[in-house]
Amino acid sequence: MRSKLVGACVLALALLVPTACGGSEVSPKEALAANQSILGQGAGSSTDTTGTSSDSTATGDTGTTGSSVDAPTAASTGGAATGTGSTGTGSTATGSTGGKPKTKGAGGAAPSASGASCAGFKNTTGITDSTITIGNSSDISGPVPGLFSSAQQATKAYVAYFNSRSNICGRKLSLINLDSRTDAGADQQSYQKLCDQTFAAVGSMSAFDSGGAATAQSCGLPDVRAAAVTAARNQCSTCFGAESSGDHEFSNSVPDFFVKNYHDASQKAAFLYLNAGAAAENAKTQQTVETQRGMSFVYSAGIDVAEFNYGPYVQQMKDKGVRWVQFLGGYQQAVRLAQAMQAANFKPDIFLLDPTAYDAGFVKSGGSAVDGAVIFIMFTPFEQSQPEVNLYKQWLQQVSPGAVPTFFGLFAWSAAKLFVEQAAALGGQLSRASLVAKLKGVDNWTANGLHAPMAIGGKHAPSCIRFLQLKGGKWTPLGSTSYQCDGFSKAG
Amino acid sequence: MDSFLSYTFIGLFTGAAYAIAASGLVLTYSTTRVFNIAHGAVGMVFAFVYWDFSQRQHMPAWLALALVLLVVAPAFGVFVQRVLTRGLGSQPIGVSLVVTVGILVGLIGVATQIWPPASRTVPQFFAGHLITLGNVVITWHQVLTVVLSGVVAGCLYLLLNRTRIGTAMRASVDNPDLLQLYGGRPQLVAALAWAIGTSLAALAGILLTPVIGLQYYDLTLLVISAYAAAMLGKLTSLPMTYVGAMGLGILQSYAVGYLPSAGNVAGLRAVVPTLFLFGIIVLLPQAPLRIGQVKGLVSAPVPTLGRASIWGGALVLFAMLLAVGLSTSNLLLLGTAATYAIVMLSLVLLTGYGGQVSLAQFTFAGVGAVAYAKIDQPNLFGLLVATLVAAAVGALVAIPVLRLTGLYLALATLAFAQLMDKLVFQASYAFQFNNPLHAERLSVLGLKIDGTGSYTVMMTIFFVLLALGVIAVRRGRLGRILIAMRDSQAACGTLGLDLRWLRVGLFAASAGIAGLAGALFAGLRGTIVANDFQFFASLLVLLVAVIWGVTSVTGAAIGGVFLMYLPVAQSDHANIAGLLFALLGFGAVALGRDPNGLANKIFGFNSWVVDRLYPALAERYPGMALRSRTDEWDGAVDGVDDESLAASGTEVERDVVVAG
Repeated sequence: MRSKLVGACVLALALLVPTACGGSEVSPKEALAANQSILGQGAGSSTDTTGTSSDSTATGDTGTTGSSVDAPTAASTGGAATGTGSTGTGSTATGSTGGKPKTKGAGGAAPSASGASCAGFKNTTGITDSTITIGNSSDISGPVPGLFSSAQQATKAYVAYFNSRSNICGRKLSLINLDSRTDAGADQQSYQKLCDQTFAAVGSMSAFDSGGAATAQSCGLPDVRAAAVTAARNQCSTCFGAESSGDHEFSNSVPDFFVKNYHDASQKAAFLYLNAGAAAENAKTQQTVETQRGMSFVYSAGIDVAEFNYGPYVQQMKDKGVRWVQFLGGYQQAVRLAQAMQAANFKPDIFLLDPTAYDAGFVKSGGSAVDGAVIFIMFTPFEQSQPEVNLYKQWLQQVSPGAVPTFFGLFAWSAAKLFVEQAAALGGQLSRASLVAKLKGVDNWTANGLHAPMAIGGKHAPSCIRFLQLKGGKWTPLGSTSYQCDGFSKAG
Repeated sequence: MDSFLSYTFIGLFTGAAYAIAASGLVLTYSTTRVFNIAHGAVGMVFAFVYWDFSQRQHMPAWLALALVLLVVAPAFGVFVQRVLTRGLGSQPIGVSLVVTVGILVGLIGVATQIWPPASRTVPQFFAGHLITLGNVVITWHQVLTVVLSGVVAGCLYLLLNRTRIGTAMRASVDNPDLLQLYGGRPQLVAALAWAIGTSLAALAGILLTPVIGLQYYDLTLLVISAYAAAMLGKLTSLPMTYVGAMGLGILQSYAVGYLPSAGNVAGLRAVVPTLFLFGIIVLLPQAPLRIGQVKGLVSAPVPTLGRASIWGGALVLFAMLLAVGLSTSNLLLLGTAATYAIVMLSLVLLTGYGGQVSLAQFTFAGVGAVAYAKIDQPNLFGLLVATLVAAAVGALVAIPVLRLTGLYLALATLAFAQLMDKLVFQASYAFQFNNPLHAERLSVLGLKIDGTGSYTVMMTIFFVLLALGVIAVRRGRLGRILIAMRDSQAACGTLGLDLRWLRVGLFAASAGIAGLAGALFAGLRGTIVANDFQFFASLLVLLVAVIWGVTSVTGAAIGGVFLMYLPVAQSDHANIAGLLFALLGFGAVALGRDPNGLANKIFGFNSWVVDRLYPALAERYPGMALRSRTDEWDGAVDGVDDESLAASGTEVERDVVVAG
């Protein structure tokens, strides 16, 4: 029952995580206002989150003493960043303004041992007098060996970083690493083990994460994941993705950007997707939202995982005069499509991919065929110097020399940071239930500028997006270097 | 018109790739009667070798190509023929399928171990050079592929029909002994055929890699589409194979071009090769049954029901002890093992006793699981309905393939499994891609089996009851008919036995057992996804079943535990995960010729101790009170069939008279 063959490629795709998923529609203005209020920004239609992060529920939690971590350091050391918003209004962010007690802008600063009181701290499952044991269950073995090892490495890196600097109420973190083996059954088994042995799961990433959803929920295990891939995981009441997602939701910023800046091309759009796993479902959501936001699709097709010759699909797009192409699938299949387009001398104005293409393998294997490809991202690219990104890269090398930072690793780091901050903020009140309750209140989480604001507790698709384009083998910003925040919509 | 030409040429490129792969397949089958399921895996491995030579070691492309196609691949082909597949053509088809599936799995493991996952690229030949004909744009790589496919087909045709060695190749498949009597050298001919076939697999892999990427599974499984082309030529005709390959490629291209991309019909595009394969197998005339000689397998010992009940009770008690002592996470593993064991039990009935090969047992398990989840009756009634639904699907598969045997039957079940994967399991009424289905745990007579430990014990009880049922069938009249059918359908037909509906019933019963396993598994897990039942898992189940013994319930029980533990071991020892996979594959190659498997060796251990070890010890140490079993029981062994004791080997030849 593990499969997998085909799976191999299928799986990688299944991971086309969370660019789509659940909730109600939020207007761009609401999203922008929320972001700005957190960032302490004034007017301007773009949001640069560098150096900031926030906890919407944190107000009032500060001022207590004790040993919580990453307490607000008002003067952010986050790197200053300038950006031009989608409407052309520039903004300069220098981290949090410190206006709100719990807004964090610690940049690359070490976690500190101040925050909530530790009075009344009770040991419980996974907590002893000296350690808090957390667990990570990610796909390490299976048809695509090492599929999400970067998530585990990042979690390990954060734990090492944290333990070198601080503690939570006198307790260091201890990490148990498990392998979900690219299999729903193994995910369930891992989470059963985590329920029994750990206080919380942190930074996990699995292609078939539906397996452990009910298990985590039934034992009340706080599961702060890198991302939730399946709807079942997202619906789990104790599970939260650092890269948030909502059922059948997609960011408005993606279609809005192209409707505004590439209007003619956006009216001759095509959507191709790998007909497997989460990709097929997410593709339908994304295409529906993009249509709702003004794009017009003249061609849409799902490609079977076993197909190797994408030529007929390219010919279809040529026949229909397509000028804007989006593909949802593994980067290997994206390369295949790009090569087929190159072979047919078909050059659309835009070839758009999701963040899974932000991978050295895509650039290397795609060569000239993928030059010009565009991706939408909701995190700070590794090419950019940003304190939290630098910290992640630095500590990754400490624990896994030679490891390459990845998109999934970045969100696993964010998940670990989120766990630590929330646990520390609870101090002596820390329990599985209190942590889950606290996580439910977290919105606009940016992990100190590591990524765009995420609706952790609300479980919604990210509102803020930016774009990169591959030029000469290097990812370069397309449009603004700031996030464009236009809210999200629910398909249908 | 331009579009039509474009679709046509794109289809020709696809067809050319199929043609090269299928030609090698046909060559090896037509000369050695071994259908090499691992043909795609061979291409995959040599694509890696080519990458290693040309990219990692920076050899010139032509030199790397020459080394692979003219030296390494042919040498490997000879090795495979001499060491791994020698004499396989005269074995039952199940044996050759298991051995070649073992090679497939083994090669995936070898590739994973030698070339760990990383981004690797193989550039196209003449990269960047395009040919523009009006609005039609084609690459030189595509042209090269089409041209090479024609050259390969032409050369092979000339080889087989215009040369002395080619004539010998064709003669060897009909009767190698006769060829030898006439001065031919069948082994040399077979080795040459495998050398050429392996080179063609390598060529297909190298030509396809720049298009599909260098990955373990994509290339390996792509060749399944080429099976359809080969079947059009009934695995012997190269011209028809070529026509089939080109026709299939063009059909796929037109399907994308002219079938609607939305709606219910859209799903058909993905299954064009599978439908093509299924249609050809079902519609084309079949190869005649082989007659004149029957190779019957000596079964593993079949215990009496009383003895089996005692062992079954002991197994349940053991499961109860484990249920008390193991953690919940480990109990989930135990339950998974029970699921695998029950699925393997379905193979004991179908393959071990009935001699029918199915490559779709996990698909039937999936049907049972979906039915159980959908009807939402977590009780014995729901379990019964799920079992019956799976059995009905099994019967539906068996009816259209009633007249198929051996390889054709196996490939038909493979095609069925793929159709279920792509069309049914992804449909909104099933999993709809990868959405989980929820299933509650079973209630038995109003008592909810909620705990994982008690549920696991219950699964063990189901296994034991089913095992007793299977043994009861084997010991009865029906069992004797099944064994006769396994040994020779032709002989059965000659003796007046109408096996058609028996085969339908056998398929239905086997599918029902697998479906029951799926339903129990759904209850164990609480949620199930389509990925749990993909067809590749059916290949692994067959492999493990044969390794541990597909003719005994003991083999099924141990095999279930082994299959459960394999991925755990791979996870625990990630640095040798590929090696473990390779060991599984080549273990199947080594043991595939004996379907009684390792379990039979365990059965024989007691005999060895009593009959060999005890006498030896008694002779050396006269004072020890050791007696051989023969002395003690006077040659009678309670509860074990005479036939099993009579077996000194695994196979006996019986001369039978079969009317021509």
